[in-house]
Amino acid sequence: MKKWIMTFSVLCFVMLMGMGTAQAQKVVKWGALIDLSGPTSDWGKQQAAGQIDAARWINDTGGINGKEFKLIVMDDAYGIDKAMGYYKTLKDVEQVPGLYIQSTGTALSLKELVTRDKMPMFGASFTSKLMDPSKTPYNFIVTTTYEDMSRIALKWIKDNWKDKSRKPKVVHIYPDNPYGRAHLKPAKMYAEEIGIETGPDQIVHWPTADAKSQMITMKEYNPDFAFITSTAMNAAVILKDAKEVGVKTQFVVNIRSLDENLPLLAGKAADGVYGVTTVVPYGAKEVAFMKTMMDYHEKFRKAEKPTLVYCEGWANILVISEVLKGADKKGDLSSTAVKAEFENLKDFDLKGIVPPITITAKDHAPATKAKMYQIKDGKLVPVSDWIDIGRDPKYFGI
Amino acid sequence: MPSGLFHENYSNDERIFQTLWVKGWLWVFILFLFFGFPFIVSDLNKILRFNVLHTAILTGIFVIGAHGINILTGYTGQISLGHGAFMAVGAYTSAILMTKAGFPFILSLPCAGLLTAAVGMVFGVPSLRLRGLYLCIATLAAQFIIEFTIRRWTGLTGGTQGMFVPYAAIGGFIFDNDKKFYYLVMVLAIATTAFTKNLFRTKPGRAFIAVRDRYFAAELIGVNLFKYRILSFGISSFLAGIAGALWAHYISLIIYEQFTIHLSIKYLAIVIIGGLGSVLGGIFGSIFYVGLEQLLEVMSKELSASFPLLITYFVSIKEIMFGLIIILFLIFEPDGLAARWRTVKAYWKLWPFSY
Repeated sequence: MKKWIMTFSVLCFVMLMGMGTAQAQKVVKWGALIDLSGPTSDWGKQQAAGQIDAARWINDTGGINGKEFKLIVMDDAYGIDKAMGYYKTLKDVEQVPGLYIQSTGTALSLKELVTRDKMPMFGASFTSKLMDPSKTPYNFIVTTTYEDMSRIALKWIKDNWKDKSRKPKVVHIYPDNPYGRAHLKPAKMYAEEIGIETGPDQIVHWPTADAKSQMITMKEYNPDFAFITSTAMNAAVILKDAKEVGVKTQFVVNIRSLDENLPLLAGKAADGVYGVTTVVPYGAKEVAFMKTMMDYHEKFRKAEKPTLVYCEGWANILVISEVLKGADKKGDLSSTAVKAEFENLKDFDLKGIVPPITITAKDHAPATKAKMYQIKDGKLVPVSDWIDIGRDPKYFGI
Repeated sequence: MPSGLFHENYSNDERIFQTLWVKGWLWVFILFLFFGFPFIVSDLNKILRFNVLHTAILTGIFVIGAHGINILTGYTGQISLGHGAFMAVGAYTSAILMTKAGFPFILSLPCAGLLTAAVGMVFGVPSLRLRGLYLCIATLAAQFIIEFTIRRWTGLTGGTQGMFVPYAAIGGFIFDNDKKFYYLVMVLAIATTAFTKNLFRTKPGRAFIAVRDRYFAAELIGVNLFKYRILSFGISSFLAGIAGALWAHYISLIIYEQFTIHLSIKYLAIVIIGGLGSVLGGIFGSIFYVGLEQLLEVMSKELSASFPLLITYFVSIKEIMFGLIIILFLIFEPDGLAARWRTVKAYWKLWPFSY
């Protein structure tokens, strides 16, 4: 028995190693560190699904100039020490020319390292703190930054404010981590500039189990709007608790909290909640490319319920494959060549999933637009057109 | 010429190297660590498909920390759930001293150890009155208090943003890549191991063991319980601080998330798997734990690359496997890897003529 187990496990291991090494030479690799088992895994699983299906679509439609596109996804569980090890594995063992990183904490901590290693980092952490090429020349993202999106939400609040006798009051709700705090400074600066009163911040940790005490404190201040920076899973708890303690405030959620799961998780409490995002909801008819995405989803993961995060995964791979194609055409798939290709993207059309992007060597922020949505009967309904906040040097890189 | 190993006097019995062979093999092993291993890592990377050097450095750091908790838990019998936080104290002390006070690394490293020792001794004071699970809860308080302080003292520690740590440097020599850092960690890990091994041949070390085995009897024969318990906390935390400082300079960014209760439990798991109250246990436990983590990760990575649609399942399987292996391990080898090592050694010593 013992011998049998030993033999079997050794065989398994050898086979595994064999699979890893016995690949064709014509492979273009890309790494991805995504949270599949940590506090943001609900989001990460959708993202990974989108990226994996998109990678399959890339290979089905000709690959990277005929070469196979190989996406290596690793689970960092939103932890920095794990991510650090995987980063080293991807860089030294797999020798990828760049990688995708989900966690803001990891992205912020690896920023010095990727600069040192000259490793392009494409991320889900849409913070403008990583968009200044003079400080972080190797960081790129797919769409408008958190900071800009929070300002877009504030602009929308101000533009739709009817009561001229007083300023609208806004409170920020966020978890106490780099992601949660990223937008605070520019959002407060902007609020002051356009005449919005900012109330005391409410810190709600994630994974969130209870937010009643914060909601009761917030009720005392009684803001007109509350801007939630979290994830759908955690935002749902906040919304439900707010309803329970009788908060009258209108909630606005950020891009990471707004997806099709929010009304499912929060139920009635999510009705009428606004959100700011740039990603098209899954199944939106006005986007022609949606049919391809839906076909792939139907084919490979029928049992899962897709959200707009799945679409974002596709958008990410569209950008990455475009960049790799460009670098491959020039015959140089080194990490520095890939970086140069990122900075070459000009009005690159992402098939309507997110707005077209432009990245230059001076400014890595790819877009400055976003849309406001509202949850009506469990569906995401757009309530505004694209709002463009523009490239204001005052808010650049803070 | 004696036909076996006979202890004719005490000093003979207390020798670290019982035979010349053991000493010889140890030297071969150390020479391999310094002059063999670093030169074959790129080949090992290709075969094993994970970053071997990174794993070795992490193992080295964990060996230092594991010796620390082994002195406290394995040898003195005081359970601590604050070891992760003590590591944080060391990490932040070294980082802050270097960035804000301009200390050189050679000074900031021992300072990190000493400050952590001081903090550990303060949190060790309840050990006079509390023992067993109650002490465990008291040290748990250390974990949360330190973690909270780091998270909120933004001006000093960078709060939730964490802080960037400069490279370690001695004189003009900068440890700016993994290979250089590997040597630093190995030197310190070997020094720590020698220190721990020798500690239990001295008066304080013996007092620790007496306190663990029967504190009442120890007190009767003149062991000052309070003094030695606090001393044990001090030495244990000192090593945690050194491990923390090395961690900080290696990872180059420290943030409170790295030093949560999970790390404290991980340390306890390492020494329990390796073998409580055994110097070899700390080493084996670290190798096993860090190695297993990497191995399962590489398996899940390779399988996911071949079957991308099943990636979420592989991730879950990885976590289940990890728990399962550790549970099975504790069932079949409750005394830890060190005990298994002794059995294997005894078997081979007489092979093939054992009976």
